[in-house]
Amino acid sequence: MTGQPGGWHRLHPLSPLVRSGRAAVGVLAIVGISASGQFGHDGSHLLDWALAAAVVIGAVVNWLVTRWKLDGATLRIETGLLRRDSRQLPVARIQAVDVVRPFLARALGLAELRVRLAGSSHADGRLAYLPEQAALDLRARLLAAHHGLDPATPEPGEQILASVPTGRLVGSVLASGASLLIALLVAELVVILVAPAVLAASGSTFLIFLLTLVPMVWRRLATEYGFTLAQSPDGIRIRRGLLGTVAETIPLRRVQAVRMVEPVLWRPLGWCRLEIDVAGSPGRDHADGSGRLRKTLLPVGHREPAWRLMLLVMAADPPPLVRPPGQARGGRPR
Amino acid sequence: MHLVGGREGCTVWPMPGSAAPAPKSPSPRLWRMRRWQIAGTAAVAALGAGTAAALAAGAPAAAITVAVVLVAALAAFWFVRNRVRAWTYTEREDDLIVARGVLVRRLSVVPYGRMQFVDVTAGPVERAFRLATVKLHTAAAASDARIPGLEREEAARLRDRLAALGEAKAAGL
Repeated sequence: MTGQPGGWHRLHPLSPLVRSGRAAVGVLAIVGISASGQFGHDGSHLLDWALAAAVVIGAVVNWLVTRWKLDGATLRIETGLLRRDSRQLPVARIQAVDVVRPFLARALGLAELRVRLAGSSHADGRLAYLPEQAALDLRARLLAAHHGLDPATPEPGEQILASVPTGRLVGSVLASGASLLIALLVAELVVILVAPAVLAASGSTFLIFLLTLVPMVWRRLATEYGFTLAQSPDGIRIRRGLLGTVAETIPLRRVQAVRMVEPVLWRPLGWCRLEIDVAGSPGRDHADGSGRLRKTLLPVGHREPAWRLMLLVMAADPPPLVRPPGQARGGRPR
Repeated sequence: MHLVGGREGCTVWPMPGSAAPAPKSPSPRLWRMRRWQIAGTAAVAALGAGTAAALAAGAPAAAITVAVVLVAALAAFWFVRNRVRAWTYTEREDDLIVARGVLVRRLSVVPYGRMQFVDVTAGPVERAFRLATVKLHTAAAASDARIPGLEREEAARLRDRLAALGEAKAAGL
């Protein structure tokens, strides 16, 4: 974060590296493979290096032309070299503020700040990347301004409401439909081992199923590992993540709906899941799930505490549930 | 009495008792920019199609092709001029009105209080003509109002005014 005249700030100088991290790794892999000469590539590696250089230069230019400024009650973000884009995000309109730390950024002490507004798409209101402390400070200032306080107000303390032990999270994933399918596949594996002739018939389908299911299970575990829900005067805080971490702050009155889900397999255990809806346009879904409209308030928990959480988020006692009147029984269910 | 939002068929009468602000139009440079865009596209198309026709079927075919492209460009001039002329915006006390379209007239009224954020973009061509596009985002993804071809200073003024008004009149969501 470099200071500039007029209160403008740059992103962290390392951000091009992190942003192009995945692409750079891919290019390096290609370069490595062709350099090892296994594929009879006897020419120069000029093209490979040009590709790598293009990726890096693009990221650096993007960094050079991007700047941001918190101007009273408006966050301004300017970006773009050829197509200049200047965005005014009124702080009062904030729906949620996320601090996202992918693995590489976390290793370098960086964090991405994502300001979500209703009607914004995934690219709006992203500041990638800031130094970790600067991201947390900016979040505190944004939220303080959002609640009509002086932006310099320090971040209020928080009270932890719920956390999900790893054992329970693993149990919940095991008791989900996907893992049942995996169990089925393991059974198939056993059959294959006993009678190798079956392998020829079902080997490939087996592999495909495994290749799709394992990442699914892994993704749930990695995004919801170490899930902590806390309450503070500026909203509810959600922290989660194994390799990359996500910290979401949602002001309480920005919660549009609360949902309690009880999958069949969880019911004997008395478990349920809580989800909340936040306004915004879905945009492209992020791998860490932070781009979604529907956020998990509690990935797995017992009914009683979950019910209390739900009351807290709704900030009111729900009216008693009523069945449709008896006369409606003969009517056509719609 | 002043009609807000321009042409017949789609007009908004001003609120009784309020001073009716006059509708404003994008900069005249927008039309100049569009002219250059059409002329450039037509030149490239004429050159490309003419060369292809000349190679494939000889000079007469090439002449016909170029003539067709030129006629299409003239038609485009006419359409685009009307479209540029039809684009107006009015800053009223509580809302911004953007009227546009020739064949299908469209008029959007965006209350300042419902505005979520403002976006100012300037593409390479627009920047060459010192123009910018202001876009208002509302919570509903479909109801974005866009005003193209504003002079840079006017775009900055409108952006700051909209941001300030959105702040002052914030409502809901």
